[in-house]
Order: sequence, then C-alpha cells, then structure tokens
Amino acid sequence: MADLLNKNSVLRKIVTNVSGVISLVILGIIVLLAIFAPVLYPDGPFEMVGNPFMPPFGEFLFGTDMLGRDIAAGIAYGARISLLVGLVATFIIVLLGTVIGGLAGYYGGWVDTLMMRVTEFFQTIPTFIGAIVIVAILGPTLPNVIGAIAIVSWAPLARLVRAEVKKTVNLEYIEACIALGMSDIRILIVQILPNVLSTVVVAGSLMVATAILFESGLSFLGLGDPNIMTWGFMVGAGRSAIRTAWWMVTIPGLAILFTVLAINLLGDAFNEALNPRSKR
Amino acid sequence: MTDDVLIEARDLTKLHHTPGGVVRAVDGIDLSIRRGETLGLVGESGCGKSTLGRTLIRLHEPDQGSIRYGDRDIAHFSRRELRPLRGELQMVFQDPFASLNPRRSIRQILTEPFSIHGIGNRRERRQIVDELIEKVGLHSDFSERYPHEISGGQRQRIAIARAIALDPSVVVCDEPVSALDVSVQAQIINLMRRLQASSGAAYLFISHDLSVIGYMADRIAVMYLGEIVEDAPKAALWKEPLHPYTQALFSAIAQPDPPSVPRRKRVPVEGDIPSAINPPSGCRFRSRCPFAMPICAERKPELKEPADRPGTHVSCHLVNSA
Amino acid sequence: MTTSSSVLSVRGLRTEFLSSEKTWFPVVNHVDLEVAPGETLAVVGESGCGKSMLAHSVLRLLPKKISRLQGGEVLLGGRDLTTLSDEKMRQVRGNDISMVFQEPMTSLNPLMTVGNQIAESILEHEDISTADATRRSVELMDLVGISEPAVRAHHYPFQLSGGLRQRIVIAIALACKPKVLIADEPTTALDVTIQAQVLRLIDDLKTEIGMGVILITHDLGVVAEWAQRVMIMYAGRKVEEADAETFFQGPAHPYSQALLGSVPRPDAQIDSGDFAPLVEIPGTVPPLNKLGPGCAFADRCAHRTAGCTQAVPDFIEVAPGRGVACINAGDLS
Ligand SMILES: Nc1ncnc2c1ncn2[C@@H]1O[C@H](COP(=O)(O)OP(=O)(O)OP(=O)(O)O)[C@@H](O)[C@H]1O
Ligand SMILES: Nc1ncnc2c1ncn2[C@@H]1O[C@H](COP(=O)(O)OP(=O)(O)O)[C@@H](O)[C@H]1O
Ligand code: SF4
Ligand code: SF4
Ligand SMILES: [Mg+2]
Ligand SMILES: [Mg+2]
Repeated sequence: MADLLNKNSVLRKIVTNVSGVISLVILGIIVLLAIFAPVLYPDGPFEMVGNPFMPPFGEFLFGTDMLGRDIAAGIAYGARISLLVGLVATFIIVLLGTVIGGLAGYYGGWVDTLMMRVTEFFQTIPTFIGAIVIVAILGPTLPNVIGAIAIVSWAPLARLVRAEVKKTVNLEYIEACIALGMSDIRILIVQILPNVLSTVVVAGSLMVATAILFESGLSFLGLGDPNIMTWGFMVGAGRSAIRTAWWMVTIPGLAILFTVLAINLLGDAFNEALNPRSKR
Repeated sequence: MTDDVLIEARDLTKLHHTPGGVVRAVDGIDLSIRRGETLGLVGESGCGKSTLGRTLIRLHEPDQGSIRYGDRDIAHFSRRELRPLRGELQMVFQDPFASLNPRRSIRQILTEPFSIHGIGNRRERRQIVDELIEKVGLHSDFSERYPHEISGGQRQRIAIARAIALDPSVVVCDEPVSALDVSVQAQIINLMRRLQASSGAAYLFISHDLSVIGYMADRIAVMYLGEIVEDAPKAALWKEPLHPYTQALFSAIAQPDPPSVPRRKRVPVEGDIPSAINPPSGCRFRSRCPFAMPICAERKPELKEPADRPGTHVSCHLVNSA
Repeated sequence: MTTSSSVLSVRGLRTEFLSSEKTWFPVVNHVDLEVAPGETLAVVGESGCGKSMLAHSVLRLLPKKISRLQGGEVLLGGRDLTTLSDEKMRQVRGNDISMVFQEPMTSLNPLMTVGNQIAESILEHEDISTADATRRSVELMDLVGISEPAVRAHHYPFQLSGGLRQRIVIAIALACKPKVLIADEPTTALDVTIQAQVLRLIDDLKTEIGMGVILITHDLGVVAEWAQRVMIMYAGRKVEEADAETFFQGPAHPYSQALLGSVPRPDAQIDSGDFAPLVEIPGTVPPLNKLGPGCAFADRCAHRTAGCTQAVPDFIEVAPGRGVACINAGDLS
C-alpha cells in the first residue's frame, strides 16, 4: 500500500525507466489530442474540408480521405474513442474480475466452485470472435462494443485475482483478524485487497491496450458505431484505397500501434516499479 | 468438572480433506480448561496441535463434537453468532512474521480490535493502544513502525498485545516462542507468565518443546496422531510419565546439565510418525512403541484414570491393565 | 589442545562482508579452533553471531564479490585450505570435510532420486563404476539407519519425511568417510524424538570412522548431551571455550551465563516449586557492521564496567582449550 500511495516513489521509478518515459510521452500526446480535439478541429471528423485524396504534409498535416475529410481530425477524435473504450472496458473488467475473483478466493468452497465454473465458461469463448458475435446480435453501438469487450475479457483477470487472494487468505494475519471478529467485507477490503492491488494495476494497464485493439478490430470489420469516427473504422474505410492513398490506412494504423505499444510498455514499467524483485 | 471450567470440548473431531485423502487431524478429543489455568499441549509436528487450538476457538468448524463455552455450545455457531464472542476467544500464532499484516503499522494493527468492537473514540483508542504497547514491554514509539521494521521478538510482543487487547477469557498460544532465539524466547515466556498471572484467563499453550511447556503449564496434555494419549497435572507427569510416548518425549529432552549429571532413562523410539491419513489400527503409537503387545493392534486403548493417579488420564493397554 | 592431535585447526580466521555502504566488515573475527578425531566441538550463539559464516569460511563456500577471507589459516592434514586452488578445494569438500545443512529439503535436488544423489557424490570423488556407487549408496543408507534402503533409494526427496531427508543428507556427507563433519543446526527442523535419533547417528558414526565433528547449534541442551567441547560465539568472535563438563558446571563469560540462564528448566523448578523468571538478555545481537570500539556484548551485559567500552577484550587462554574474552571474567566465577 505504502508503495502505491506514495506516488512519488512509484512515479519516480517509472520516470527513471527508459521505456516508462517513452510510453508516458506517447500517451501524453494522445491524451492531449483527445482532450483538445474539439478545439483543434471544431468542425468534427466527418466534415468535408478539402479535396479528396490529398497527401499528407501538404495543406493538411495527415492529408484527406476519399471524401475530403481531414485525417488528422479523425485521428484526434478517434483518440477520444480509443481511450474511452480502453478505460471504460478496463474499469468494468477490473471491477468484475476483482469482485468475482476476490469472493471466490476468499470464501472458497462452493462459492469458489460456482464462480470458477462461470469463469471457465467465459474463458472458453474465443475472445475476438465472441465479441463479434455479441456486437452482431446486440447491434453496433458504443456501449455494446464496450460491453462485448468486457464480457469476453474479464475471466482471466478473475482467475489471477483469485490466485492472489488465495495466497493471502491463508496467512496467519488474516486468521488473526477473523479471531478478532472483523467482518468479511472489511477483511477483503482492508487486509487482502492492498496485496492484490499491484497485480490488478499491472494486468489492468495491459487490458487497456487489449480493449483498444479489440475496438479497432470491431470497427475495422464495420461493427463499430457508424456515427462515431474511430481509428479502426478509418483503417477499414481506407483499405480499398490502399494503392492510391497509402496514408489513409497507414496513419490510423500507426496511431493504434503506438498507443497499444505505449500502454504495454507502461504496464511493464508498472510491473517493475511495483515488484522490485521481478527484475533482480 | 467444577463450574470453574471456562471451556470444555467433548468428542471434538476435525477432518482435513487433502489430495492424499482425509486427515483425522483431531479425532474425538475431550478437553477442558479452568479459569486461570494453563493447559500445555505437547506433541510432534503434524499431530494436530494447531488444528485442535484453532477448532477450540472456532477458527475451524468441528466435524463432530461439542464446545461448551459459558452455558452455550459454540461448536456450530455461524460466523454471525460468533462475532460478538470473538474478542473473548483469542490466539497467538507461531510465526510472528506471518501473523502481522506487513502493510499496516503497529498502531493500525492494535487499533483494529477496538474499532471492530466499537470501543472508545479516536482519542481514547490512541491512549489504550499506547498503554497496550507498554504493557507488553515496548515503548509506545514503536506504534508508528511497520512489522518489518522491528525484530522477531518485538513482533511476537505485538501479536500478544493484539490477542490480549479485549481481555479474552480463552487464549490459544500456538508455539508462540518456537520461531524465536533462546534469549528472546526467555523474554516472551516471562512476559506471558506475567500477563497470564494477572488475567485469570484460560490458556491453551501449544509447543513441541516439553521444557517450555513444563515451565508454562499447570496441566499437560500429550497428543499423538490426532488423539490425546495422556493428560495429567504437571508435577505428576514430570515425576512419572505413564504413557510410553510421553516417556519417549521426556527422555528426548536434552538438559543443559554437566555431562556427569545422570540423565533420565532413555526410552528409544524408532522410526517416524506414521501418515495421519492412514494411522495404525488399535493403538496409534504401536508402530513405534517399544512395549507393543498383540492386543495393541486389535483394540484401541481408552483414555482412563488410573486408580492410584487421580487427575491423570492415560490411553495405553499396558498402563490400564496394570 | 595440541596441534598434533587435531584433525582440523583453524587459526586467526577472519572473514569480511561488504556492507551496503561499500565498506568491509568482519563477520568472523580472529577465530581459533581445534578439533580432534572422534571429538565433537559445539559452536553456540544466537542467530547472527557468525556460526554459519565460520562454517562456510572453513569450507570456502562464501559468496564471491561480497565476501572475502581476510587472513588466518585452516589446517587439515598438513595443508592450509585457504591457499588451495578452487579445483583442489572442490576435491577436499565432500572428501576430507563435509557439511550438513540446517534445512534438509533445500540441500537435496528435488528432481533426483535420493539413491542417485548419494551415488553421484561418491562418483564425484572416487573412480569406481556406477554399479559399485549404487551399491555403496544403499549400504550408506543402511548405515544411517534407513529401513528398506534398496526401496527408499528410488524415492525422491519430497516422498521422505524430514528425519529421513536429513539422514540422506548425512549419508551424502559421509559418503567418502570425511575426516571432519560440519553440521550446521542439523536437527533444528526436526521433531524431538527424530532429533535424538539423528544426533545419536552422528555420534555413533563419529566414533566408528574417527572423524571430528563441529556441531553448530543454539540449543545448549543438545550441546550438553552430545558435545565434548564448547565454543561460544558472539558478534563474530569466540568469547568462551571450555570442555563441556567445565562449561556446564559454570560458564565464565556473562553472555554464556545469560544463555544458560535463559533456558527453561522445569525439572529443577518443579522440585523446588519456585518458578523464578528466566534470565533475559535485553536487546538483540548488534548488526556486525555497526560495532563500537569495546566489547560487543557491552550493551546487553549486566556486568559491564567502564573499561568494557574502551577496547575489545582479548581472548585469554588459561589452559589449552579453556579461555574467555571478558575483562571482568576473573571476578565472576
Ligand atoms: N550474504 C550476506 N551478506 C551480508 N551479510 C551477511 C551475509 N550472510 C551473513 N551475513 C551476516 O553475517 C553475520 C553472521 O551470519 P551467520 O549466518 O553466520 O549467523 P548464524 O550465527 O549462523 O545465525 P543463525 O543461528 O541464524 O543461523 C550476520 O550479521 C549476518 O547478517
Ligand atoms: N488447512 C489444512 N488443510 C489440510 N490439511 C491440514 C490443514 N491443516 C493441517 N492439516 C493436516 O492436519 C494434520 C495436523 O496438522 P496440525 O494441526 O497443523 O499439526 P501440528 O500443529 O501438531 O503440527 C497434519 O497432517 C496436517 O498436514
Ligand atoms: S497401547 Fe500398546 S502400543 Fe499403545 S502405547 Fe500402550 S503398550 Fe504401546
Ligand atoms: S567485557 Fe565487560 S561488557 Fe563485555 S562481557 Fe565482559 S563484563 Fe560484559
Ligand atoms: Mg502447528
Ligand atoms: Mg546459521
């Protein structure tokens, strides 16, 4: 707990780590883009602002697409969606995974058996195909996309949390708390959760990247919300013009690549900062 | 037994389900402890001492038998029913490194008993905790430290402080000095004797070290493979242990006396403790007993009081038929 | 003790470790000891007194880079082990000197049958066939009192109890009939009845093959029962040495006295009915990199006088094998 609350120490460790710095810089740019998208491009990403197929680094930084829409505006607005999906889906995943894994690990017995059966069921769903099916059935809206991603991804986290909780729950200090009459909820939150937190933070940060990839994949296949500009949608739309206008595919593709890479690097940096032992 | 009995177990049985099979860790044990009394529980590792201690204060639920505490049988109380009793039934664990949460300060750890049971306000709790720390022989400055910042002996003092915080009436001490260096062990033993003398609580003091038990206990129960084989007042047991296993334990005590001083007669025991999953039939000690007879394999000896030794109970065909 | 009768003699041994502040500090400091064949020397002290480091220094099993031997000699069979090459030293270990460690599980390979492990250590030192080594390993298991040795030889360590595992470790240590056996808390992890069995085994074998034994322990009862001579260590130094009889009649160093007084003695107390509190040694062993100029025990000593913090007391040998390092020891006995 001390580690995590004492932001200085964890932050310092991340900042002194090369990949940590790189990832922070990339993510910083993307976050700024997302925040200031309406200021930079007040007309929105769907507005036709110039001629079609204008190459990048001319009048428009990243050029225009086949309808003359500014690709840079699309990247900026797409960043909002990617981050939103990544964060909200991860939040749901972490919540589900921690609650289910925590209860299963703490109570054991039939609670554990039941919850792990359910978890196993969800784990057997092939993740991406599962997400496609869910969105195809429920309809392509942003909440459905987020929900689909969360549903197919929470199970591994639940197992991870369960394993960590099981490790902690057998320690004598937990028994001492039970002997004092501490309530289960309090034991879970005050005594056990802090021990699980670093695992959840690391797994969760990687989960953000996975969720962004999923969303891009769904949009690419045309299963994204049609009223929203996303990176995956841009790649999908530019696919047919790849010979004439390479930038339509490449630029949003790079945006996805860098974002996912940066988040993964940050996850690793977190891992190192929270478990100094993992390195040496 | 008189009304002085604070806690009394009858036919207490606790099974552990392991991948290798069912372990009868505690198998039909009778036991009672009076107000102000310390019952010493001795036996080799794996014989079920910890399981018995934990079951007695209901950290485990027994599979069979009763636990009379006050005028109630708490053997099958639910978590909710147990909660108000928790402060009265306490435990000190063996490993002072595992029994304190490494992420909480000493003050947080010692405040827990009071906040759980809603005793005092913030200011009062601060003061009670300071007093508690001093009661176990530490300076209240220690309160802001974390467990890894203090020594093993000091940690064990904190664990004891937590156990006595709510003035418990039953305290199970599970090998509280086994993990400590001799010199520190002496400090903790002295502290526990002092606290116990002033409290009037019933203590179950578990150890594999007969010398420590002999120093702490009023009465001693000897455990082997889930059963109590002998239960006697300390002085009687020390003068003349009756069960062959007790005799073996006694003769294995290494006394720090000059080599020229005569030692107790050695009762050799061969071999290892058998598996608790598959204990020998009849008397469980027979695979190692130097006096084993045919009847020992056929019939299980009962825990009986020999005519000439009131207060002592032994389960051995040799003793009981004599 | 005269050198001629000793199988192992250690003179002025000093081992240093690197502190986190990058300075070298001694963990074994000017230690002398002698062991005769067929004799057990007990080395006693609290945790962190340097007992294990002494043993590791003798065997030259110190971690590289953070530790170094900084003087002294270790004489075994006319050779000074501190000057041998690493290759030569490897041959000495297991052959002339063996060690038994505290935790039997960690000193055995979990993935190899115990029979193979014993055979392996024989093959390491002797030029015999695998079949002969296997046969010898079964004999050794029989020697250390394992029933059905031919069957048990095929077992893996996890299939054996702690007592049996420790016997295997002893069998490996004895495979080449060493001249010296160093046993570092060989029974601390074992139950009392098993403990007695293992110590009896070491004692019998010692007489049988005439080896010298260094028994490291913190249990004075075990010392009284199994050792002929006693050496008390504190903060890396030898503070008292005596034969067992003299020592238990009345130790001379305040630390030894306190150690002996801190052992619960129900026998005596049940007879007299008088349960006096045990002797407590206040505080703990000081960190060895932060020792002051005087006697390292001064902070915890009930007999401290002004002179104690001036200089480290010399170890005064009043007779061969009998001595004490305390400026007030003369007034204590
Ligand atoms: N790898 C190491 N690095 C630094 N210091 C060490 C190291 N190993 C041991 N020491 C220090 O050397 C001193 C002696 O340690 P040693 O292990 O010999 O004690 P011991 O007497 O065997 O204790 P125990 O009874 O706990 O086994 C201690 O102060 C210890 O902290
Ligand atoms: N939580 C548990 N799950 C399964 N088996 C256990 C558990 N606790 C103890 N046992 C088994 O029960 C027996 C008695 O154990 P324990 O009460 O810890 O003995 P002791 O305290 O005397 O060493 C042993 O065989 C042990 O392996
Ligand atoms: S009943 Fe038989 S086997 Fe058991 S302790 Fe008595 S004599 Fe030994
Ligand atoms: S030299 Fe002084 S401080 Fe050290 S043991 Fe002797 S009396 Fe105590
Ligand atoms: Mg136990
Ligand atoms: Mg050691």
